[in-house]
Amino acid sequence: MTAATISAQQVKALRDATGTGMMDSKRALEATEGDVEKAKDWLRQKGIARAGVKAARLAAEGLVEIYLHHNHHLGVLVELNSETDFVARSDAFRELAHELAVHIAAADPRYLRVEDIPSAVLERKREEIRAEAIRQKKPAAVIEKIIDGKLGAFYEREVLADQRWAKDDTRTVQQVLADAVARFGENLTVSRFARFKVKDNGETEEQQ
Amino acid sequence: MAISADQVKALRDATGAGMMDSKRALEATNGDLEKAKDWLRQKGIAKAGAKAARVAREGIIATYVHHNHQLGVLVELNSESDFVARNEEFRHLAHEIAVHIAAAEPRYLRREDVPNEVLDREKAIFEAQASDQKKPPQVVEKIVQGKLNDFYKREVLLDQAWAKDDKRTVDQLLKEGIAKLGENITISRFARFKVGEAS
Repeated sequence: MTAATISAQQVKALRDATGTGMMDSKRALEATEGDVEKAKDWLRQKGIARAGVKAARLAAEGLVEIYLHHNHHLGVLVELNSETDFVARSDAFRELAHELAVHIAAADPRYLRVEDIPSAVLERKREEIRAEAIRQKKPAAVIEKIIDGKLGAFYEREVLADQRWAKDDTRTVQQVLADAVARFGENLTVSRFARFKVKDNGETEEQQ
Repeated sequence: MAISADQVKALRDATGAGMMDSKRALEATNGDLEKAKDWLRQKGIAKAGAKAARVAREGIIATYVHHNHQLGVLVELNSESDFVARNEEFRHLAHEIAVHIAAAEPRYLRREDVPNEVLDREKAIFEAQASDQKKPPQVVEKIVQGKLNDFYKREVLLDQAWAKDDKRTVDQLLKEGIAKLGENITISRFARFKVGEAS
C-alpha cells in the first residue's frame, strides 16, 4: 500500500472524526489500507487520538425540537435538517419542526421510512395478511394484491413519512415535507425521532 | 480502625446497604452502629438497597432542549407510584438528569447495554497499547481493566460522574433519590440528539 492510494477525502473524513493532524491521519490510513474505522483504532493504539473524542465537524444543518405533553407522560424529540443554516434559523422552519413533533406525539409512528422497517417485521406482516386471505378463501390470483393493499395500510399507520398529517389528513407527512421543500427552495429531511411514553415498557422507539 | 465482619453484617441487616458501603460507614464513625446508620442515610445509601429490587412502572418524561435548538434530550424516569411521580423533588431530579445527559453525552444507559462488538474493539485497543509498552501479562490485564472502567465512566450514564458534583455518580444520585422519596427510582431510557450526528 503506497501513499498514493489514500485519497484526500479519506484523510479528511478521518481528521473530521478524530481531530488528528493530516500527516498522522494519512499514516493511519496507509497502515490500515484505507479503512477509516481501523485507522481510528490505529490512531488510538499509537496514543495519537484520544478515546471519546467526538466528531469535530458535523455534516448537517437543522434543528432539534421537543414536545412534552402537559402531564409529562409523553415526550417527543425530532431532528429536522436543511441544507443551510439560513433556512434552519427561519421561523417557518422552526414552526415546521414543532408541528412535526406534535404530529409524532399524536400519530405514534414507529418508523421513519418504509426502509427502516426490519425485514423480519415486514415478512411476518406479509405472512399474517396472506394467512388471513387464505382463511377467507380469496382466489390465489388476488392474494398478492391484497397483501400490497394491506401493507400500504400498515405503512400509513406505522411509518412517519406515510402517515396522514395530523392537522390536515388530505396530505401525508411526506407531502407536507415536499411542499415545504418547494417553499424553502432547499432539501429538507427528518433524520430521526424518538417518542417516549411512560409505561410503554421501556422499549426504545428511537429511529435513526 | 479495624471493623469486624459481625459489625458489617449487623449494619447491612439493619439498612440493606451493600458490604463496601457498610464498611466505609463504620470506618467513618469509628464502629458506632447507630452513627453508621445516620452516615448511610446522609449519603443516601441506606434504604436504597432494599427498595431497588421493586419495580418502578410509573414516572415521567423529562426533556431538555438547548437554546439554539442544536441539542435535545428525552429521558424517562420511573417510580413505583404515581404519587411519587407527581412529587416536585422527583420532577426536579428528572430535569437534572436530562440536563446531565445533554452535558455529559452518555452513549449507553447501563454497562449491559454496551454491545459486545464495542467492548471487544475497546479491549483490543487497550491490549495493543499495553503490549506496545512491553508490560507483563498480569499488568496488561490490570491496565485493560482500568481502561475499561474509564470507558464505562465516560460512556455509560449510570457510571458517569454527576455533572454538577463529580464526587457522585448518576447511580448514586438515583440511590439518594430512592432514600429520600422512599421508592425505587430507575431511568428506563434516554435519547440525545445533536444536529448532524445522525448523518
